[in-house]
Amino acid sequence: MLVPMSHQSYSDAILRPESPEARILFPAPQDQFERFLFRQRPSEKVGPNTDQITLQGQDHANPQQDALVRLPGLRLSPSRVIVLQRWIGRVESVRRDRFVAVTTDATNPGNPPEESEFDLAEVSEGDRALVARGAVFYWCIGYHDSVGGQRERTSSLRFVRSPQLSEATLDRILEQADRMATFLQESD
Amino acid sequence: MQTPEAEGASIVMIGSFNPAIFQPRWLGAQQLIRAEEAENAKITIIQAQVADFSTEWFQLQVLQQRFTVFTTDPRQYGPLRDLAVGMFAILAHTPVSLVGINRHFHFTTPSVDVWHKIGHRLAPKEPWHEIITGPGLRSLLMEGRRDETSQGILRIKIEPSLKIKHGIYVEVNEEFRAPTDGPSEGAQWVPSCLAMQWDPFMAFAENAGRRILPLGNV
Amino acid sequence: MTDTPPDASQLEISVFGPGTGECVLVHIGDGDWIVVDSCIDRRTRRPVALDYLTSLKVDVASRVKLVVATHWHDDHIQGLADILFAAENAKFVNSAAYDFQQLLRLVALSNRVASPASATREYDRIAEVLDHRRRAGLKRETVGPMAALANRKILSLTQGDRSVGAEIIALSPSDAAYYLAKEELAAAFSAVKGGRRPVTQGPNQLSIVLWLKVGVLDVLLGADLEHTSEPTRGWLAITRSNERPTGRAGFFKVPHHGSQNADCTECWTELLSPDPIAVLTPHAPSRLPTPTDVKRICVRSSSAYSTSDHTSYGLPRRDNAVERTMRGMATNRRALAGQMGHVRLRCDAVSVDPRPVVQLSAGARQLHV
Repeated sequence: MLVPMSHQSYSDAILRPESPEARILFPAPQDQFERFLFRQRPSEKVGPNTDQITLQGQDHANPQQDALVRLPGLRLSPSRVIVLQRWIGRVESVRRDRFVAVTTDATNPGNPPEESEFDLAEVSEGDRALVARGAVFYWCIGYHDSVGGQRERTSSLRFVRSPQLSEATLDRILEQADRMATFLQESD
Repeated sequence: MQTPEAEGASIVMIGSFNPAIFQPRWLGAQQLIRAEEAENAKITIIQAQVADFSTEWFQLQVLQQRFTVFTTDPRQYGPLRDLAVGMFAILAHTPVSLVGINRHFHFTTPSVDVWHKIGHRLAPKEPWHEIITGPGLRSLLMEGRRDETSQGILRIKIEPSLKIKHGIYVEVNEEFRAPTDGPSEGAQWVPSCLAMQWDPFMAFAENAGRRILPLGNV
Repeated sequence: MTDTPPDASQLEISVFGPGTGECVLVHIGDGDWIVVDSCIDRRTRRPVALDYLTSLKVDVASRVKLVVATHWHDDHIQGLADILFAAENAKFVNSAAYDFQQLLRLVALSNRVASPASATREYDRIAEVLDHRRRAGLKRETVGPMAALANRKILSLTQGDRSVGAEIIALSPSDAAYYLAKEELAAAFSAVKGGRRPVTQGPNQLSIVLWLKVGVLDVLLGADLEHTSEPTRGWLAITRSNERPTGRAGFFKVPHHGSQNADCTECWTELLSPDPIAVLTPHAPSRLPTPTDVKRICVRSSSAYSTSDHTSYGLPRRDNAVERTMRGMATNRRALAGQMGHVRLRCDAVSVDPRPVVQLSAGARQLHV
């Protein structure tokens, strides 16, 4: 028998940042709670948007006057997306207004890979510069139920973005690889 | 798997972070998100102790010892992973000691009887009748591993849903610690950990959800 | 097709391929096997090599002697790390043309960025398995990586205490191909740095061609090696080598899916018996083999087989809403793989009359002019 949860436990509401036991499980209670995070002096400026609280300076807390600042918890979207099918695609070639890609079925990996042509117009403008041979994208088809309950079929392409690594980071990665290669290639 | 009424995924890290870095503008400049997403992000707060903002598809919240990136759009699970990978490939020096991947679902059940059957199957009430009156399952947490070779610790939590009447909430979490051998300095281990573990974890979490609801059919 | 293992003195060559990817298993006598490349059976999501050897009740941990990656591309090594992990006594062999350090650098970089290619993920896991074994105290000479280079012997099992002797020699890559590998890896590196997956370009002159002598029989496994008029590379570097094994192979794994680019007449006239048995794996993305390729191969061999028919792959059927939406987004769709096909040859390796028996299963078929 399940017991309806009529109230939330606040035992984890106060986050102790320095605690080594800071729980990694998310969300700790299911519903998002507001967390009491840190102390703010009442005289500190509060922005025009009551959700935006900016602190001027990092003065130490005055125990006589401190108030706890409440930060909004993690916010759930009011609409709902149901994914019916997912693929991962890799661009094989790009023409003027189309590109050819090989898609791998991520929903049913038992299905064979497929080759398809896509219209470049289906790609979000912010992603167009990423469309090149070897580029990877996610393709999802499903339904979107709006807040008002309106259902629409959706199909979205999103191209994978990779970080632009600094030379120092690159060097570090390569150094580690070199150490592994040296070790594996050493004869005894 | 039965379609959940609501679901989401998140990546949580424990370490030592500088929240002020994590701004939409920075993500846009690093090309980790679209320029339009960076420009239209909704900022709650960006400050030395805490950063919190959201875009159309994810929310990012960074405290000095905890990083969370979260989405409730199942189309964006892959991009969420990529975003975390990208950030910590760049911020490789950031000390990160734990990475947790989380997935949660809210399912409906066909009837209150099925709802109760699930609870009774997971936590039989007979042993409790002599201890308390009207025992009921409030929360169940199981811990184990995904399989024999998994490096992470896996936890599954099941509770009555707070969102759906007579619904079931399932939360699956897998936690990875910084390796003691090999590259562990800072966050260097994080991108490959996420790259290798994300897909198997997500498939596992879906499968776990698929196997819990039929318990109410017995 | 029976699931009894071959006899101790039998040669078995099993070629698998679903239309993208291939795997060759060879029984080299006395219960010992080698694995050349790997592909995944989509139904079981396991390497087909492990599924098949398990069905024969082969103790993979002790009986697989070599795991060979003829080259590092996606469609040749999927699942190879799992095989290497299971084959505890096997040595890993890769192409000497690819500088191992550069390959690991590519792998390391690829796995730090989003959505790494399956080949680099696979190689990362291969390196992990090797690293684990080396740290456990095993020597490089035992676990690998062994760099296969033209005319280098990579395995020798003498007949003394066996039913049949077995010798495996790499015939490629040649020295002259090294600079091609450097260029290829540099291009791949550049792609990965730019956030893209490496895409193979240009002719393949770097993969490992293997010559196997099992008992009295010779076998030529052509991998993906392509032909060039340059005599120091490709097939001519093999046919014109003074150091290559003598003998004529009666079984030929046709290179590069039977393509014209990989066809070398000298290979047929100098390395193969007059009427060899030929097997190929198709490659649906490139629509190989073409009808012309099939005709050319059939004419030169006593019998020719393909693991799959790439012209007949059907598209899977999905939910109506998905199908309707797909039709609006993606055009000219075609499936790039079908059922995993298996061509199996068994014959007596110690007799002058080996009487080969070829069996086909699932999508495999005999080729005809």
